[in-house]
Amino acid sequence: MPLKPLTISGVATDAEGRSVSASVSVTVNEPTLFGSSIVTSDGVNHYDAFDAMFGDIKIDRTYNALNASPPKYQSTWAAQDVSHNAASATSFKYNPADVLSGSKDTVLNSFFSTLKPGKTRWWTYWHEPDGEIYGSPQKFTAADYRAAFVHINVLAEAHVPAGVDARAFLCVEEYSMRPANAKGPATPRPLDSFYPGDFIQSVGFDVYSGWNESSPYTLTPSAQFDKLFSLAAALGKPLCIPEFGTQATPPTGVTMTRAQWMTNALRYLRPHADQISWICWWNDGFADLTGDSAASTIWKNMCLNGWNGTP
Amino acid sequence: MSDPTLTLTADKAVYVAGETITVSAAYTDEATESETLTISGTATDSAGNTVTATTVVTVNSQTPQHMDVTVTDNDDRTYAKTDDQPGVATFTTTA
Repeated sequence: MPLKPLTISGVATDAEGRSVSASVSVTVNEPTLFGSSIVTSDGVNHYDAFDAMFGDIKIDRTYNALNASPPKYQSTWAAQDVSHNAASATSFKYNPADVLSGSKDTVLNSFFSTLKPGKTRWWTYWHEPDGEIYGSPQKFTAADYRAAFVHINVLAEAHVPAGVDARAFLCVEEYSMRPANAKGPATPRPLDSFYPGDFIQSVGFDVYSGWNESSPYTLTPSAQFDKLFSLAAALGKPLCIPEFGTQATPPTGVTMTRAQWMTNALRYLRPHADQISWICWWNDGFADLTGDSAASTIWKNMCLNGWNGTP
Repeated sequence: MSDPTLTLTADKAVYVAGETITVSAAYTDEATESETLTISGTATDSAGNTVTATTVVTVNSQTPQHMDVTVTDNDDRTYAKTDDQPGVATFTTTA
């Protein structure tokens, strides 16, 4: 349950036009939300099925396609989140050069101006940019990514309606934060090289076992999560896990099941609950929990009961 | 004329998300009201002679006046005014 500082300000004005201001600071203790992706890679929307599988998705992770106009979140998924009383976590992709030219301002202004009140509407620009910035060939630079994200945030501040709780998050791969000698990339990918600024309200890391490595289940929770907490704390932000998942079948010689991996990770994370904004299971492909009764029951308990559902 | 003052007070220091936040805005603001006072005097001696004189002074009094109060926060919540008495207004919102 991250503690969010809240500054309340007041202004009093008398009939003669004299005014005086004051403020008071309080703290809002926000529960960690547990949810899921809802649209699989083939484009099929599974909201109702996944919501039934997990009891009650508290936050819904969606992905808008490159150059989507309008983003599908705006045209379709936002209404689903409102009708399910769920928070939103959505991302969109436009090339930094296009963003910085202003050619995407109209579509982005429309996106932000139509965000719905109720639950928090988390948004991010180009999820996992570390792959594009540090991959080969490089698709854009860290500087351009940061500048484009800042540009988009200016649009957000101007167009999000009053009363809508819209917050920016960053979304990078946990893999990119690993040292090379711990199954990380050969070339360091320092977070501060593409961190766009203090307007980010939660630092997100996509955490997998079994995707970017040949031997899944071999990294301990400490090896995967400690550095993430340190990075987020150094920035003064809670972290989120926009994608959390692992494959069902362990490699030869590994006896740990997916449910056991989830259990170990969640038990490790629970003492850090006040540093975690939200976690979404990546319910697609190799991480799809359909048919995995033990693992899906664990996640259902988390969605329904928060940290009290920790196995 | 003294400057107005304002003090904001929240009913708790820490809220759980979804709880009601109640904020009291206590203010002081005095308007100056001036009244002209004519003071007359009469003096009489033992022979019965009288003389009169007057002086005019201004009496300033400070009276509390109403202030319009608005409350906002850094998360753009909407605050509803639930009470508005002279000297204090009360607002609520949801954490």
